[in-house]
Amino acid sequence: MTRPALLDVKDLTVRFRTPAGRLTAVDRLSFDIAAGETLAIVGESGCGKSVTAMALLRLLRSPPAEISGSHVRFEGTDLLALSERAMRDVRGNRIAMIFQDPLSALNPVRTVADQIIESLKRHTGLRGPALHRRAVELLDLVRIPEPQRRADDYPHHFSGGMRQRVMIAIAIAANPRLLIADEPTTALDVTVQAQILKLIVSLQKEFGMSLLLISHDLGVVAETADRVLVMYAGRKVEERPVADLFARPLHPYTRALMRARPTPGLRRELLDEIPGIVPSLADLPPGCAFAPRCAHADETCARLQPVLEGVGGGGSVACLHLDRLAGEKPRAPVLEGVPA
Amino acid sequence: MSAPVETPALEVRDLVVSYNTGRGPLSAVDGVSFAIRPGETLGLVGESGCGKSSLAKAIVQLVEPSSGALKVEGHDITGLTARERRALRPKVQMVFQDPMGALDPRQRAGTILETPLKLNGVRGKAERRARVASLMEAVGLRPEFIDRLPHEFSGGQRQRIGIARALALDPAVIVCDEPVSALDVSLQAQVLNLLRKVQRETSVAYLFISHDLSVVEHIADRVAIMYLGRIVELAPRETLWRAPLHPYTRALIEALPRIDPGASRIADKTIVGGDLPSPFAPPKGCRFHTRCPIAVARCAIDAPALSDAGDGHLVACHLASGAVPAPNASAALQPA
Repeated sequence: MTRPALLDVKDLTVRFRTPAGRLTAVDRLSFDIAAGETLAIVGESGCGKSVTAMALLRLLRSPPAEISGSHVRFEGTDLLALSERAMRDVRGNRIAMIFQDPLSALNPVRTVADQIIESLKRHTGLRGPALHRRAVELLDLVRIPEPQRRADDYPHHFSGGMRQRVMIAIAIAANPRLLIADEPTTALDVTVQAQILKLIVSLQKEFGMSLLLISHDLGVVAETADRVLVMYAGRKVEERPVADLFARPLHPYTRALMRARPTPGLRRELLDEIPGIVPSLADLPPGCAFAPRCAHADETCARLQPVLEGVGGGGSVACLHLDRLAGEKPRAPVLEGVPA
Repeated sequence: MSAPVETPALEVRDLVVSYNTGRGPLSAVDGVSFAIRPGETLGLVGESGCGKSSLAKAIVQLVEPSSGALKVEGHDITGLTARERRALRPKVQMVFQDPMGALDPRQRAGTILETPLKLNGVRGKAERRARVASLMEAVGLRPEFIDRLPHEFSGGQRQRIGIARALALDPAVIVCDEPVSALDVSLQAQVLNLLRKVQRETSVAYLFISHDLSVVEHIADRVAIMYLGRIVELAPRETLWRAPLHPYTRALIEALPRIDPGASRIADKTIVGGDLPSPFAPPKGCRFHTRCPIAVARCAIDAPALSDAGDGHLVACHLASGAVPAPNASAALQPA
């Protein structure tokens, strides 16, 4: 990494106090994002990817959440050390976030223009009629047809995809440096999902933003990210440049995820199941959290927690059997039949 | 395959489902025809509002079709009396997207599986018990789970109960409505594998409905693509994937995220524009023409009929080369 990091997260830990005991949702997570770069965090439900996003913006209620860590440095400032008041100036301004469900994130009784204007008022110097003009410009920027006319509509007048465009317009109103997108297309239809992802990526380029994409979908990640961080049970298990990860996944969990997924054009009678289920965060095994489901695990894995080791190309993997796995002849790359 | 004429497990002909709503009449399903043979899986793909859920509801008789025929193992279930229909109902079962919502939270797994047996005349308690045990075994649930409540199961296990319940009465066809959409990838694989194993053992037919073309491409033998109430393309799985003829099918395939970061990046893709038009006022002519990259004037006027392009490949597009408008295209609707 030659570019200086815009966001530098070191040993971020998020715990929750629950009736079932204290559980660790994010365990000593470290990563960074350079200016203009896209980092994707991928994993299944409960792996801690969304909690990570919320913790960065300090959006988790405490208690029950407890956030700790060495630092979450953004543009040189440690967000963990900021006052709540100073944090409010970062949120929506320097870092903006969009969510999976735009309908619940938008105010149903205010027009979309009003909601964009609210963001503009708070985060820019614009005042008076310039506010409405800019709101319309932003709607146009997110490719909402007839933005002048649609500006005074309410969220329920828009389709799911159009609402997500409105959310994006609000998010970019303040010209943030980092956009966090938490499953931004998961609730959308396939063609609309692709439209929205394409829009996010083109705005990212236009505005020079960094993007932190949270997703469960390996395909979405493969088409969007520069680097990918794979999480399992609150921990980073693998982080690699996107091309390396998909050409040759190293962690057994990453491999298992890729083989469990149906691959168009490469039909198998049965998919490779990952046996068992994700362990409860309140009751993690002492060693590697994936060991009980892992085909490569032995009794050492059940005892020792692996640490992240560098694998070249700026990647890292947490597996006690990394040497053996890295030495294996890679399986044929996952071929995707592309219709002519 | 030139098998002797076989009675389809399910046959749907010219099915129309319309609703009278506060916003006016809505034709959710507008003349859909297909047949599924025993042991076959027909995948049905479409985006929200295309009518796939209405079609599913009509097939399991949760809504009354406005017109058309529905035949289960050759018996037409439209126009029957309630009593006659009840006798055929066990033949068509459904697996739902959200197993939590589809299971009574206060009923134990054993009761959930026993109820359909009780209601359909399996009198002996010992016989029911044995059947429940074999159903649980068939879907990979341990016998001691019989007294658990739905919330004590994981999402994947709940879906197994849903599948076991659907199997309880030896159905001819199971309508699977987005059965893995709510599940994580690792559980998705478990459930998809289970559905396939069950089919190999019982020769049940599936209508597998999903918005996810990659899942359908994995599980289905043939695939139908639906857009605004109509089937626009229907073909054997391999053909549909390798040589799609309808521009909408091509758009869906292009939009599908691929794991090939060297060649497939979202920034470089051409994505079909626009939103789905309102099903209350579907476009005239071909319903896809408002979003179609290759539409010509005729497409806005004439609705293309589903025509045979050869080898059981049906397509409804004026511009699909090779598609011969066959007056008796319905003949091709029979399973290959």
